[in-house]
Amino acid sequence: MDTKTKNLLRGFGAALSNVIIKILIPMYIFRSVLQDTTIMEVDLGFTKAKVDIILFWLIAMGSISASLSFSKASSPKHSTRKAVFDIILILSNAFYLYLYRFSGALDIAVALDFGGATGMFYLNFENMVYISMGVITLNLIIGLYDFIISYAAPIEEEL
Amino acid sequence: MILQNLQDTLSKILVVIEKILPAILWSMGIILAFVLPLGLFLKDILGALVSHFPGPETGLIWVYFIVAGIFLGLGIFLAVKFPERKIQL
Repeated sequence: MDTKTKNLLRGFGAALSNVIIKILIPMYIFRSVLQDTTIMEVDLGFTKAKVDIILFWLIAMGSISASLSFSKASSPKHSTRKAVFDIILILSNAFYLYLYRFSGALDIAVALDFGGATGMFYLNFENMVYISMGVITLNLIIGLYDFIISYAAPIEEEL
Repeated sequence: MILQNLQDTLSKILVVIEKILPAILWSMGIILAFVLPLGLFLKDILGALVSHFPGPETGLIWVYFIVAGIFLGLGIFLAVKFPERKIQL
């Protein structure tokens, strides 16, 4: 198999795995499992309108992320363009995380209804995202370091 | 005898805790002092940037598909045109 085909196959594999992980699985979870779910007498508050907003960001940023992962994975090892696509992919992942999680996916308004007694409480997991964002920023620093290495002091291919 | 066994077990558990506790505290400290502020910083930047993005109310999802298509096309073009890396040594 020549290098061209190998690069393309690697790229399509990465893009496909991204589509499955970042779009299809969350889409299934929100649309088929969480939407209008009522466990016992507890309503999780994922209405159709709210799920539509979440899915918009999922599909929009997930598709960009998947195409960028194709470009990154199809680039040759230690090349400058791999480092550039890696940095753009990390930024795209940060946007994906921000838009998808802050679109209402982490706000859970739980409504309880036990016959005569009713109540409501509100769960917000958005603070958890800050740690993920911090990890993404660290990845960005590593990506920038890789870019500088690939540009200023390129690593020799293993023979 | 039972008390002695209990004391031995507890002392073993305490030795393990003594060993792993500094590692846990250090990692928590690094997360709180370094990773969390970085996350807050990135979140603020992203928050300012995403306000310009077309949202679900505009129905402009095709804009994102065009951007994805450009990156995909660029990736395919580069993978076909330049499959090998040019070593600059």
